[in-house]
Amino acid sequence: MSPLKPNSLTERDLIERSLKGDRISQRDLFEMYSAKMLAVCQRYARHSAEAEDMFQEGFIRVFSNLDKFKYDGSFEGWVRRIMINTALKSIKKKSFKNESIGLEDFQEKDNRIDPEVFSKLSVDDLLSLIDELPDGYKIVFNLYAIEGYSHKEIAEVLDIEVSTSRSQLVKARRMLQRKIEDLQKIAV
Amino acid sequence: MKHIDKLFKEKLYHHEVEVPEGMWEKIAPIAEEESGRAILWFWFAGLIALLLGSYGMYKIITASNQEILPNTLVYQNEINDTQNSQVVDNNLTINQDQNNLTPENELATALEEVNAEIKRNKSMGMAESNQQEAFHAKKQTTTKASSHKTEQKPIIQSTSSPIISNTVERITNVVGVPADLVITKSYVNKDGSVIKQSNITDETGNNGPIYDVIINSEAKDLNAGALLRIIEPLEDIPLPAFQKGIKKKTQKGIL
Repeated sequence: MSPLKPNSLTERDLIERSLKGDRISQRDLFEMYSAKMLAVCQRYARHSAEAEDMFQEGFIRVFSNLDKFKYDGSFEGWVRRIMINTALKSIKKKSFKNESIGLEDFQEKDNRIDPEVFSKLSVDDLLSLIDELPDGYKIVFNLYAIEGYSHKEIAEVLDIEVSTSRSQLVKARRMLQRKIEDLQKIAV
Repeated sequence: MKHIDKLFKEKLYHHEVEVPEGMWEKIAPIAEEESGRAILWFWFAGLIALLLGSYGMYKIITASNQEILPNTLVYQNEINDTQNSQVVDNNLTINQDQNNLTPENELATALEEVNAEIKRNKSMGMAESNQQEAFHAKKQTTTKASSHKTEQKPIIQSTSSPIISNTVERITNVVGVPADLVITKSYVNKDGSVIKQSNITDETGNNGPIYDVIINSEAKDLNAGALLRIIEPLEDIPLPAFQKGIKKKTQKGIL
């Protein structure tokens, strides 16, 4: 569902007015996406202050590059990409170690999580589960599972090997699964 | 996509959080400054493009002016170069009225006369074949007259001291073909002597100055027509000082 458009102007109207320097339209655009984009930044950042820095820098880049948006895809997708790129830029690459995936990792079991248990988990619970992951795992899991990036795209964005991206994702999943199973046990 | 990925995406993709107050106030001035800088760059780039465009246009116009310069030179010299008039036979000095009396002009005048005659004859009921005969007779007379005139065109007068300048002359025989206008060029040595001489020999066996550009040549084998220019290759002038400089540089490079 698209966010509420203030003053009943379309998203395109707001973009065009913002390009002409209309401060009100710029603010309206900001308000349309700010809540979602801060949530995106929080998933990548290690703490709230870092998330806010990423968020600010990301929006500055959005408004300075607004003329480059060509309406090829959704505006929200474009803004989200800028936010993610800004977040990744500020995260040190040392979080990633180039490692190849072993055969045992490919034979990863898709242990189904009980949907009932999962539904009981709040968004904050899930966020804290992700936040507990090591930085490399967290970023790859966010990009692949939530944003929908491919391993090739992740490898390009993070300047790592595709195999490293796969490996980090498998390990992140395994860790999350274990944590959720623990929560299941506690619940029972 | 794995089951666990789906579960996380469903709950987190559209997740929103409350934005702290005053966030926009922090972003707006910086964003405005950035976009202002972008606009400034845009105008600056536009200005540069405009300047480059103007310079390009100026170059093109200058180049095209240089191309037509020989013609301009021709007419200026026609009026001002009295010195040449002395060197070349008086009959060869360019005269605008004389130029108008080219064989083509005479033919056109004759055609007009014939047309007028035809009109007159038509009114008098004269036969068409007679009209054609009259036309051909007139044409032949005109052609003969013009060829006779061409034959009578004088050649360059010889001169003991050749003129050293860019000049314009009307001559008849350059590289064996008639031409209306010719720009001549000669080059001078340090001691003042002419280093470029024509290989065209006139009646007396003397050399005249060489001819570089010919306008309105009538050379048929060169598809000559109106305003055809034949550019003769210019002679290389040795530049000893320049060559010395190159030699020195090369020696330095070797060392």
